[in-house]
Amino acid sequence: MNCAAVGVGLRAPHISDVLARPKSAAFFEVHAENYMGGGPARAVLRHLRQDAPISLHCVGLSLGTDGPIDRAHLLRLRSLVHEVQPFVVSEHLAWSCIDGVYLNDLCPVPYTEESLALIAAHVGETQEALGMRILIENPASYVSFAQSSLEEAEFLSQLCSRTGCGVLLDVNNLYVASRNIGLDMRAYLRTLPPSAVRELHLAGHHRTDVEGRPLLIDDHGSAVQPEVWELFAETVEVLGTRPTLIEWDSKMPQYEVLLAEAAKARRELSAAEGRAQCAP
Amino acid sequence: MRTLKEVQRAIQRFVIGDDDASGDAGLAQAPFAVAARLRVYRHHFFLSLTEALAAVYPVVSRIVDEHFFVWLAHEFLRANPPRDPRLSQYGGSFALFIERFAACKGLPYLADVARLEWALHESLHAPDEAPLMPGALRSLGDPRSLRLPFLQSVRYLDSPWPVARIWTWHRDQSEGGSPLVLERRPTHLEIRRMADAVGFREIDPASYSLRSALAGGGTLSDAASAANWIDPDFNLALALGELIADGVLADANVKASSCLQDDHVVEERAADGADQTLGERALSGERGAVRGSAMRMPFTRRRNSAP
Repeated sequence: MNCAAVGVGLRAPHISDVLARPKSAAFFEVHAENYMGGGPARAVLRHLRQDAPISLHCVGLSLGTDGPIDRAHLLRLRSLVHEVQPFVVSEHLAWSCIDGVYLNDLCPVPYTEESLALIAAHVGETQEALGMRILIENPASYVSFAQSSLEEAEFLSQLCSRTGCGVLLDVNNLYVASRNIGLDMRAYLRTLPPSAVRELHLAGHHRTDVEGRPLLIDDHGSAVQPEVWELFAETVEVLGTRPTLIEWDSKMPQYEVLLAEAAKARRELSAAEGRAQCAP
Repeated sequence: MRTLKEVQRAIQRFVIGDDDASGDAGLAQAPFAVAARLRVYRHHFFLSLTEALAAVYPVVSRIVDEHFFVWLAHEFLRANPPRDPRLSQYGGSFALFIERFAACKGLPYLADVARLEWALHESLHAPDEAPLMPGALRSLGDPRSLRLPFLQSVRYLDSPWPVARIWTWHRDQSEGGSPLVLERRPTHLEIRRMADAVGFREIDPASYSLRSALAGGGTLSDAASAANWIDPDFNLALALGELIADGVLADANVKASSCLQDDHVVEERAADGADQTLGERALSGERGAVRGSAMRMPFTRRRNSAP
């Protein structure tokens, strides 16, 4: 994928727009779990993949679970990958399931050697099953753990070197986490190995007040905030240009609004292209 | 130091509603409001899954008051959190929960409306399969022990209530429409997906008992006996011809292109089959359909709004 390519996250309300204009974005990213059955959803993906590159973004592997990976789910993902032939597959640095119960969310893990060994094993198992490298996305954090012994960027870097996986750097998540739990964004960007970062995400967030203090919620329900655009520019400056995705999940706007955000990201990437390194 | 499993169990307990569990999650105190921050996950759990239930059960959520539905959904969620990473698989036991939920006793048909909506939902998401072509049945051997493979998108459902009419009336509910008359009247439904839409139709009780027994994995001779018991004049040859012509059978020799695991499918089928009882003759001809638009599906979302 071209390093200045900008895709959009395909969500249900925009399916007919996207089928009518499959060239309106450089690629489309879908949540893999929404396309694991048959019927009209699967048909949409089967149709769209003929006209546009597809990225499969998983939300259900629960790589951070202290327990075995759900093999049946991994096999479903493998079948989908074989059929759709995505140019990239990604998951999250998170867990959603413990003791067989799913929380339908991306919950945080403490950054310890124990977590690192476990997640590395799960990433390895996934990559082996799929026969390809996957990307792991940094979380939008609301809490951190007393027992964490590694910085998040260090944790991700070690995960990459142990498993050969890459990083999907969600710039909005990085901003949200820096405000909520005090991650140092500048140090973060300089800790990640540039060659490991293979995709960027951009989305809006929402500010709420908790006990009189601001807490940023990664709701994907608005345009990308100016501060996140600034961090995006800095990210590209430090790491190089990368295929970038616009995500929007709640309070869905018209498809044109997503395309306008994508155009803005494309301008940023083009402006940086002369100066910055593309992914090797 | 807590093990990862201890941390995850504590967070899970907190998310599903146990306030006391936040102290066991090993969260860093800095900078502020630890429990309030953890509530972001709880809020998302209840809101996103309530929305998912409302998407699968639009008519149930219309029949009851909006606030009641949220309460019902939350009670259901606490007792039946998801056991599958696919959001589309969530909510299959909602009908049973409604049936046993004391506050729903005044709406005795509500559980069957939920069963119908779940059947429509399952049909919409069922794997894509090749239908059996007419003529292919000739080579299948002894009819007495014959078992016919149904498409997984085909479902059978019966109710002592006119559940099809109730569903359609509430879906189309508008000011000044004709009132809904609620009286017990057995209904036998065939639910299926055609192109990108799912829908249902009423079928006569004898055909229902034949088709539902076959779909539940019964042999042709057992299914035919069941149909004959309902209707002594039941014409099996005619009924089989219709069955094939209707395109509800699967070609077992063609592999499904979807990736649902076979063992899942068998379990679902068995559960369906066990649920069926024989009823009296019903009027046929009432049909309902919902567009199979992706809008109806409970699609995953990454994060909801603030608590």
